[in-house]
Amino acid sequence: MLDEHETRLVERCRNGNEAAWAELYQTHAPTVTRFIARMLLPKDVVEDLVQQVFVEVFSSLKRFRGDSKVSTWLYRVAVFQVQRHLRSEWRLWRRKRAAADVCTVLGIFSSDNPAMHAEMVAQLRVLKSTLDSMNSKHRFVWVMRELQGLSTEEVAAVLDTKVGTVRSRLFEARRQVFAAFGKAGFATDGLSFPLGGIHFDEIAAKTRGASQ
Amino acid sequence: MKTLSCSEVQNLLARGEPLPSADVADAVAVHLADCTRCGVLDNTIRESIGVFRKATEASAQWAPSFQAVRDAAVERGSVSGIGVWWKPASVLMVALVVAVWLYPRSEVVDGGGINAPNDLRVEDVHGLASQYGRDSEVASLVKNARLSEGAVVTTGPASQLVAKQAGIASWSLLADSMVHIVTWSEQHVALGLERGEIRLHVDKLEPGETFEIRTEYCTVTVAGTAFTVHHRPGIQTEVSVLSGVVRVDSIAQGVRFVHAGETVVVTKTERFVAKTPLPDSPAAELSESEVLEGQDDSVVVLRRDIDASQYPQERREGERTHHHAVEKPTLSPREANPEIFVPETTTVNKPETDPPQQRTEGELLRIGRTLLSKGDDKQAITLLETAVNDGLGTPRLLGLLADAHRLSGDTGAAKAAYQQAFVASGTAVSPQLLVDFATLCEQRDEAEEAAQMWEKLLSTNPTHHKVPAALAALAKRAEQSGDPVLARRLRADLCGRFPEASECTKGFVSTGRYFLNKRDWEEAERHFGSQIQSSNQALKEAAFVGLIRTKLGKGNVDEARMLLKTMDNVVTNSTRIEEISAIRESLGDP
Repeated sequence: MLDEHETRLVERCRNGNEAAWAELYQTHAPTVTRFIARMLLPKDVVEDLVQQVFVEVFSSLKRFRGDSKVSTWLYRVAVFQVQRHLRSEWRLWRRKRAAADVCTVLGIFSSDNPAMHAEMVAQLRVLKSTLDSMNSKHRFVWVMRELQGLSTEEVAAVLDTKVGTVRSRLFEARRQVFAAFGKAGFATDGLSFPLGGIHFDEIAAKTRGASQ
Repeated sequence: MKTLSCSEVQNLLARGEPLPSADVADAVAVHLADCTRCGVLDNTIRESIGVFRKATEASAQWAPSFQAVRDAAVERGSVSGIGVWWKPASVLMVALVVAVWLYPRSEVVDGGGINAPNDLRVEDVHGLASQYGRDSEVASLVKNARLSEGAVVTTGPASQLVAKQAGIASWSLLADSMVHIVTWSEQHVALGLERGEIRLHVDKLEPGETFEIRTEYCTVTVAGTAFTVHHRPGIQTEVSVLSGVVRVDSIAQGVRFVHAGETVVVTKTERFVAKTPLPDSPAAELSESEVLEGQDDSVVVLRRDIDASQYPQERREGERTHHHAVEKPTLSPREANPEIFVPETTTVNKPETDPPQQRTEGELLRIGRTLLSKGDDKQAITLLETAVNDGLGTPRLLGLLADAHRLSGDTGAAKAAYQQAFVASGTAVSPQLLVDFATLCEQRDEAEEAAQMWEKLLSTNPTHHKVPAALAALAKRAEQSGDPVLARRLRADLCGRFPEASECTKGFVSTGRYFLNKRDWEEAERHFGSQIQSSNQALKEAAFVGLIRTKLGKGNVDEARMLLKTMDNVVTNSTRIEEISAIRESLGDP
């Protein structure tokens, strides 16, 4: 549901207030742009798709009922636009090369620390190629959860599907990432793992000590 | 305890949801403790995701401009509200632009024709910047956003905005500043600087065109130049010119012209104080100069390379007639007018000869510091004040004088000396001066002024070692002003850039306490969880304790107990130890 500020903003947009349109755009454009870019699409495609998303939003705002947040609705439109782009077959063969271009443009494979550089670059390449080869349904969910920080419920609202469906798609995406990294044979120092955000390296150390 | 296989652990971790029970969590922990492959993989993946997320943040800049999106919406013709009425308006605007283009520039000016369309845009923005429109609507500013005539543009702490329209000017609005775009067109520009600092580079103006900056104390009129106006509400306006000439009008004092390399200050009492001292060389080098004398011992500005006909002066009735020394004077201006260029707060002296032993600045600084280290504040003050009165009012000496006053307990005199040091520094204020002045203002509970100094430090010296203190001070002020969102952002910036700084830990705890007091458990868990693996031990311990409190707040007593167990033999900070003891007591645990 919309909060008070969003309700007022949407109302002003519906009334044709240009400053309101600008505010809506400037507030949400960075998030939408990052999301589309993280689908590993090239810069020119990202610009076009962001424009299409907001043109669509501007033209259909009168139909927006306010039963979800504006950001959820924007994600929904963005997912639709990206899906439409990805489905186009003649683009498929370009996607893999485009993904590399994106990472180069964003300097993803650069690092100030030469010692870290080689290992981190290798890890990022594995991540990128896994995302590339992932089914778009799984990729959407993974990007929204892991990179955009949406909750499972929010992702379900965006995709207009059940929470359980989102969980299973996320599980599959993570399994693929886990398998890819395992296959690549990575090994780093240290032991720690997440437990809903808590790291229990001390527990691990104590447990190891107790079992010895 | 159940033993899990690698694939079972991987499946559990892939769910990404909280584990079903404490037994399962323990089993996972045991497996990861023993299985180097699983633990390592998970850490590697999380690290890669974090790096990837951070690296792709910059892709937000790929967003097209709002204007492009709006034009696309108009072209599509399906936009109601702004589309339908905009179409004929856009056609008319295009026609107007074409009409302007077709006519030579001078015809447009002479005929009072149509002004070129306003296309003032944001060229670059760091931090927080907003535009308040005529109808009080607020918009955050991003790159390429359009700035409207009539709007008010503001910048937040540690922020900066650069705006430009080719052919007119570019200007940079520094941290915590506010400017009102009164008029913006090729022929006439008027900006109202409400507070803060603006740096401008104005393109060459044709005859009849004007460009002015207004503050509550004066109006600065430009003649094609690069300059800075810094206005402190309630204190003064300072105008520094890098190139060209600028005319400064004050209500009481009339007109002054400021040339390249010169700076004037118009104070609260609207007295001009020139800050650039006259050279000691004879006036032969200044043959084309002109000296203007003002009223009531107010100080004059030395004009260079004048062409008086281009800059007609306004005079009010009763004002003294300005006299012009066009010929080469036999005395240097300093010799002819020794009472000028003296700081406003000190008594005017006219020394007949130099003192018998003229100490250098270095010697005075050495002696002054020695006296202060011995506790001889009064002697140090006397020595430094004498030096300043004798005309050696350099920023470093004035800064040391201010320190001496501060140490002697006279914060009022210290503040006055710091202000004089600022005046003497011109545009090159040393970061230490900013830090000292900010600290003094905080001591005197002058939060507003302290914040201005901290912000200036952040914008001019972003790598100074006192930047963490500046960010922490600004965050505290934001919190006290009722803006916790800004406070959190500043603290996040502080901890992100300076994770080892003590201010980071204090700010981290402060922000976490805010979430706990609000009973926002989700945010609290996210906040404290983010630093559980910090390399900063103090931060890590604070994060653990915060997380324990969060778990208790949510009612997850078992998880809280598990966390408490891990903190044995790990916590070193006495405050945290006491907190943990108190929590154990409340749980009834030994």
